[in-house]
Amino acid sequence: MTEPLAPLELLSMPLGAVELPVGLQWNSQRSLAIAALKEVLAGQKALLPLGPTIGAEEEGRLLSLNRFALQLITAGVAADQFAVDKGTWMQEATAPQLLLAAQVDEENDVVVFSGVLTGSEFISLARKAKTSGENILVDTNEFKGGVERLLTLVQLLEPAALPRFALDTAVTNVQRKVVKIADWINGQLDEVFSQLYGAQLQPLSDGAFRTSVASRFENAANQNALALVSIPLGLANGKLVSGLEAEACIERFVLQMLATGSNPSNPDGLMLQLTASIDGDLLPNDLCISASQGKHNQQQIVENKNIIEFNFSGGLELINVSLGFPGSSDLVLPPLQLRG
Amino acid sequence: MSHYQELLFLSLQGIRSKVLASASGFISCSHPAYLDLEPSQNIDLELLTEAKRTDTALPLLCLRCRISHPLDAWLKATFRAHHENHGIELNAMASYALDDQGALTIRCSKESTADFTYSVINSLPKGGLARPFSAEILRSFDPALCGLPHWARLKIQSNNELKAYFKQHGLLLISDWALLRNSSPRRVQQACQAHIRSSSTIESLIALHSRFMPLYDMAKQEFKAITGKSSGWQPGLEFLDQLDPAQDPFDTKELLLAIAKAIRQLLTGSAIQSLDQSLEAGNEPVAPFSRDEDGPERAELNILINAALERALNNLMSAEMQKEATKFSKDEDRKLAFELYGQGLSQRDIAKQVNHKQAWVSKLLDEKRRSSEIAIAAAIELKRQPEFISCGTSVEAAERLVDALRNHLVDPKLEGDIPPLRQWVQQYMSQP
Repeated sequence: MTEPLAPLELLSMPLGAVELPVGLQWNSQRSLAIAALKEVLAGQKALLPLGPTIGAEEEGRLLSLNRFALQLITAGVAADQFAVDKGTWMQEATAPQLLLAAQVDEENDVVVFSGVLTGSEFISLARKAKTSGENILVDTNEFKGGVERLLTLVQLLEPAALPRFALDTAVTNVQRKVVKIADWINGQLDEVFSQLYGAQLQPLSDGAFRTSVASRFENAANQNALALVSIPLGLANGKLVSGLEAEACIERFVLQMLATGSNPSNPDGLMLQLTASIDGDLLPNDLCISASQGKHNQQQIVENKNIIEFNFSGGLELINVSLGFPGSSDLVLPPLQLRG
Repeated sequence: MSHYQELLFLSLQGIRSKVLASASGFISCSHPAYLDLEPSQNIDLELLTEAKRTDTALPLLCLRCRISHPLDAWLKATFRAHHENHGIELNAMASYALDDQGALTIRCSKESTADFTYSVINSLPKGGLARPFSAEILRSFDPALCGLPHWARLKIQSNNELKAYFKQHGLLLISDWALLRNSSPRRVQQACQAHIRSSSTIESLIALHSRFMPLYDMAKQEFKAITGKSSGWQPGLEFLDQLDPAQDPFDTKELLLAIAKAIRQLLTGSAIQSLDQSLEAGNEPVAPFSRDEDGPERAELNILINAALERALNNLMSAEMQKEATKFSKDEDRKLAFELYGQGLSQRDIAKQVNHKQAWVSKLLDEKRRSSEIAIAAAIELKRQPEFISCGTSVEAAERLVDALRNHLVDPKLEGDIPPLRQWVQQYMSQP
């Protein structure tokens, strides 16, 4: 008979924990977290201005770090959830660009920066998160990258690269925002498209193309493939999900979008293909995919199929794509712009 | 009945036990019936009452023996769980808890001693910790709240000196109350379902926990305002009454502690990433700059990248190493650790050679922070090049570039290679 494990009494100090001087009196978890952030910034060679200089310790107040609007949230060091005040996220004008999570051990004067979420990453999580009163509950393990991610983003990105999103309007705005297919060719994928839907640019080098794509996109190799974007999809308890959430599903499939054209900088065709994630698997029956461009509508409902393919060539109108499954809300992609 | 006569204490040879003749004599003469009984809460209370009523040293001495046993058990269990990874020493831990040698007198000030009686320990200054630690446990013990062995465990868990010792070794001692406050209802539910066998329903335990949280925040705030301390709070009768007026406060506290224990059991073995675990897990796989793309453009790009990294390395590491070098004369191990790092040894092997724990080496080398800072500085420079312009507008591109640079700095391309950060350190250390 194995001896039962003794309950854990001590936590190992997490990697990157900031130890503050002992003996000082801290008013709140937030005051400890701000002191720790200042200590981290002081250790940096680059000068990163942190504001406001007065009143930063006030609960709920946004911070400004190197011109980025930053929301600081705190919880205990052993916490499993953060409570994020909805109020800050109700209007675009006041919404933060970055959300920094700090786990604070007031009893030991230790602060651990769990990680950072961008505004769009937070909105994506908030869509499916539980709420408690005026708070949105986010699991501590959703925050990744520690303070290093914060330092990377605020030093490398232009502030305009991180738009502010309000909670209620974010999804609608994203769905209205046009995604330019030409950007894919330059290796750029709309940030929000990527974060909210899990869209990924796939390598299109000859080797990769031959092995992973050509077998699916028949004749594609001859059609001047320019860029490939894929969105992982899945069914979680009968609901359509995408991105990371889809990767955890048992029933997984993928929507691939191949931009084509004879001019390498100007795509004039788009091939959409829906297949199961594992080659040869069938797609879920009753899964419906619709795509339209102007008056040209295409729709298919799966019935014992392992592939659905749509083609669009030319046209200035936007391409609208949506997927549906009985009992689930539709997954509507932002409009895709082929030309211009 | 040996628990009331046998004292566990720290001697020069480690933790030892001794049967105290005066305690044995007292039990044989005054309470012979105890000799056939197991230690119990009733006996604890009878001895405490007698100690207060008669204000004599012997009943208290029996209780001092009694509490040395749960303290010893807690210390040994904690030592067993964390010695290997964190290098904590049992004797060092015991010096905070098992410092009672069984004397019948107690030092009241620098010059004076007095009989070790309840009135004397109760009159010791309240602000600091009474010594020996058993005096602190006994003078603060409130039988209405829990049993004496449990109280001893709670007191050692909130001992600030021991906490500081653990912290030095990369361990955080979290009180039951802070753990409860920082656990979501979901975690409480999971913990209770998996680990609590109680007549209370899961729903009632979750409800108790959700009432606890706001009251705890208020009580903690008040405690901080009065004492100026963030740790050491314990729920009093009033708090427990407020929490559940319909229930015996003792039972309410027991339930809360049972929930806390269940949470600890849930967390045991869960993936809380520790320094050592992370080190043992190794780094992420290398994401080299170029795999299959060769050619003149790629070569030019690599020249740019290497130049940016070299400038960032020189700029940041010179200052870092100058600061480190000031400590080399005081501690040769630090110097040796950097030399071995430059030669390409793993942190585990460096730890063996300098005779320190791996956590010490990791903290000294601070590789993650240093490599991140260098990678970011190089990325800022590279961002000005057209090839990397997207790093200013795309989160993914920015992170990909920094990750790739950091990996290049610390991960060897081929087995046996020495990566650039180590090479730089090696060059620095070989300077006269």
